[in-house]
Amino acid sequence: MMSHKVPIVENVLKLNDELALQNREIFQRAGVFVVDLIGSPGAGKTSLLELTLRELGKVLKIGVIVGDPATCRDGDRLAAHSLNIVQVNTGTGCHLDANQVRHAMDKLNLPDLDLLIIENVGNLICPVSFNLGQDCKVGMFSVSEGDDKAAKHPNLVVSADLLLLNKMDLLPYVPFDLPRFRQDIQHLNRDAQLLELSVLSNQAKPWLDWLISHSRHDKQHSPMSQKR
Amino acid sequence: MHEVSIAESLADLVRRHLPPHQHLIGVTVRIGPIHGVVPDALEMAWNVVSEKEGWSGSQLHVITPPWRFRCEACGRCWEPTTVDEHCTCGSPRADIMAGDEFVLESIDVEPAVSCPQ
Repeated sequence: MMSHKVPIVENVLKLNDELALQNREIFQRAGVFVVDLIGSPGAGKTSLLELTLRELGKVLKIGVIVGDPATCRDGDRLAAHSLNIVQVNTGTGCHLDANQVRHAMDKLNLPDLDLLIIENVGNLICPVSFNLGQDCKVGMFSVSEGDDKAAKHPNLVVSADLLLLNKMDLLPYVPFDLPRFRQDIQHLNRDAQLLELSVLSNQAKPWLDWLISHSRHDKQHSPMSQKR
Repeated sequence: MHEVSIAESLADLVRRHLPPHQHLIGVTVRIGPIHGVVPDALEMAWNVVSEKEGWSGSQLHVITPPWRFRCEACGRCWEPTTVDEHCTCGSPRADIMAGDEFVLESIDVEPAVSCPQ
């Protein structure tokens, strides 16, 4: 039987990208600035969001979609600071996709929000490939993970609009070559901005300033992130 | 295991492009190393997903192109062995020219056999 080849050349995740674009349009209509926060388990993502809700809750109306394979523990932690929290359990799924975010965002009153932070499932690989419709992708590392994590996870470094390095207060106690970490980031993404934080020591002002400036600008208009 | 999600996304895309009355026998994807996809794991995931779609026996061919960098300082292009390799001129900054592909390139089909009445 004669077989033949049908050329296609389309992004493998095209259908997710189409949904993400729809999400993006909804976010834009609502005038909400949306951040996809990606980092490994234990990097301090939820602690950062607790601090963010605590410090900025009176300045910005903030919603959070939080993804975890199981439990509502993170959602419960964040719900102590805000009513606009949606927990998503992904089961065996190692990332959030645009469809899961669509269902979650329907539970929020988006036009009422200035800022929506999507805390992705703790993972430095899988979440990076799935566009959710966000304005900015933020990658979070921490000192206790080791200085090689940026180099070992190039997709996150390349596609992030902002990178965070948390647990700087542990620097005297763990082996971590900070210049090497910074150089690895520069090598892969010379435009990436790196903010160094100690969330549990309440040292996160650069992050809070970044959120305030972007949320207010983006309340007016923001182009679709040009990054993957 | 984002290979399962990728295989499911791939199946959605293939379904969109599969011509009527054709049987799917092969799928070719080009996935750069930046995506951290393990070809063996993706092929295994494809076997499960494609069987559910009624495409049992269809072969997934994963092409993994190498990294290709261009040095920001001297303009040299090269294929690094590892992603943290710097240019021989010593500059630590480079642009990624290849290695970030994530494309369904083509599908192979043949006429479906219809059962005699």
